[in-house]
Amino acid sequence: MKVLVVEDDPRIADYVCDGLRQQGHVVDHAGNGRDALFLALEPGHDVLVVDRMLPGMDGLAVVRALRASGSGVPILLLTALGGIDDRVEGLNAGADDYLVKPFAFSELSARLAALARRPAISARQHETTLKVGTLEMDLLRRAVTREGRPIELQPREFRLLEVLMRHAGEVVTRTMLLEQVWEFHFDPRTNIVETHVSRLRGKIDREFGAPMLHTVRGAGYSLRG
Amino acid sequence: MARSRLLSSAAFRLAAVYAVIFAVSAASLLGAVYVLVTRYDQARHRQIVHTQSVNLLREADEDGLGEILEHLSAQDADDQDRPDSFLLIGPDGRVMAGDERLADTPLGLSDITLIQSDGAPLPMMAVRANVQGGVLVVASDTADLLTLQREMQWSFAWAGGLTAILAILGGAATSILFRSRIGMVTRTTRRIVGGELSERVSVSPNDDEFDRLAMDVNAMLDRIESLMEGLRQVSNDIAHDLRTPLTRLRQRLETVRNGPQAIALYQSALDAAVEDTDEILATFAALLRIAQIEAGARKAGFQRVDLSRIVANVAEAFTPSAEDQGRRLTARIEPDRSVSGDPELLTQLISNLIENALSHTPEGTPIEVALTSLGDRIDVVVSDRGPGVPEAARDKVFRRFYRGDASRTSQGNGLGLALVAAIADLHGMSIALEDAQPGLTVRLSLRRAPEATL
Repeated sequence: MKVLVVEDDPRIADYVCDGLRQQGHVVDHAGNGRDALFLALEPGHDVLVVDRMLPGMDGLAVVRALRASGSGVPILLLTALGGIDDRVEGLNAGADDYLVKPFAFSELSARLAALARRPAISARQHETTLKVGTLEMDLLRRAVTREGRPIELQPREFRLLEVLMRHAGEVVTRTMLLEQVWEFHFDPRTNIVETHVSRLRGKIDREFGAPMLHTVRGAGYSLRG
Repeated sequence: MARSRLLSSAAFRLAAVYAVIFAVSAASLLGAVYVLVTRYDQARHRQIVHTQSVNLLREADEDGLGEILEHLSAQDADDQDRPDSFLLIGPDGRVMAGDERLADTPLGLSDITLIQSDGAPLPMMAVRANVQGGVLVVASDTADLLTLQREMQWSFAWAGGLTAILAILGGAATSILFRSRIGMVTRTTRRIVGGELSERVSVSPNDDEFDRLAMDVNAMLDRIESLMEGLRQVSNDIAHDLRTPLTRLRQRLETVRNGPQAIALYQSALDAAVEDTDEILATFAALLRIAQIEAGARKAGFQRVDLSRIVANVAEAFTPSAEDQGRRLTARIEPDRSVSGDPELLTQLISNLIENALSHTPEGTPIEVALTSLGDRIDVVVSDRGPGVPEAARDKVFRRFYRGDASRTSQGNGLGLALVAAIADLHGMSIALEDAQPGLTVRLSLRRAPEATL
């Protein structure tokens, strides 16, 4: 995919750009808000990474200007550590996701992949059934089957599986799950995600041949058909 | 320079403005009295000469000129109709009686001035009328009016002068009072600027505007001081409590560098180093978060939130982990209890309380989460059946980096309950630690959100 990275700190910019290039993405870089707008107004980027603090025109202003110009490109906002209001401000300005600096590269990469696929996911938002391999989810009846056999899930396990199925084939990180399944915008020390994943795995994988729910070491989880 | 300082004083200008307003109002009042008294006296004189002349003319018409001549010549001082001065000229143009100086009086009513034998002018009001071919002039002495006017001018000048002096003195007194009261505030704030942060403006028992200003300034100073104290505390905390993990990280890296060169060792050391760094960053983030919450910045984002839903959601999230530890986590939650607050922070608050119970009690210990309400008060209670917190330590557990003796070895950065305290404070909640006999009960109490607002 093609990514535009808007970051003024050269070291962080290099870290992000090099990392993304190594993963095979095409990366453009802008060091300030004006260059960012100039580059972003040309269509072609699948996703934007915008730093909250930029010299001159700040990151929020860039996001607002892009949204005002009618651009719907997915935007991930990078915010500073401890800026507890940044998330709400960023989402209000029109950003789609946020990530607190410093971050693990796997987190950034997973979130960008999810964002780039977001238009495709939203297009299928109205669908009432999800299907990954032999796993099927009926959102209306709130029923799950694998190979046609019904699986009983607790409400949170159902929500967890729904998120994983919507992002099937991608890596979903622990923090993404905390946010989307539990609305936790902080990191609890307790292994909430791990215990839920382990229980879900027991229900969808244990009695079936090939496991679908994989742990991606140092990154998160991935559901594959 | 002293003059310009006096003029630039707001108190002086205020006093001067009041003095001018006072003087102008006194002058206009006195002026009005002067005009009214003068007009009244003139009207009185006009009435006198008019009545006298009309009566004399009627007498002349009835009885002839000879009769009024006789009347006028009679030296009867009690006669109301006897004019102060008169002149009667016969049809032949001869002066029949009276004061010849009145001969020049024009026809009708007029003010005239006679020159007396000593040369002094005598103001009079006179009426000249034609009567039976002759002329009658009747005049009234208006010297009393002049005397009255002169006396009024004198007394008014005195009163005006006194008023001005009083106004200036009052203004000066006000000015001095203002300057001394403001001077106290100024001196205090200068001392504070100079570094004596604990200085406060003195407040008199009068409870006037200055006292209220002083109290507001003092409240502001208290707030600034507590924020400064918070900042100082945070810096100290960071210095003390980040040193340990940073030292550990450094030792770890150094050990690997000096040890055998093996990729596997390097990899595990790097993983451990990244973990250490994450822990340091988490502590750092928690500290910043507490500081920001304590500064109250987050309050702008308050909304009506369903606290019951949040507590139930968090309790549910922790249930499987608790079960894995052989515990029973029970939730007793009254539904639909809303408060005004920040949903994200309230979620973290409840989460931290449950995690606190999970990490400070032995595995298998049951935990209960409850939300109850009484009137417009809502209580959220997290209790465990663990070892509890001794009475003496209960105030300290909410301090940053405080760790009880029992929990020294357990994981955690010692900031969980400090964050709880900060969030509770932001939401106007009270926190109480109670003895669950055995165990610890943390009770949060707050008021329900009013129905219609938010």
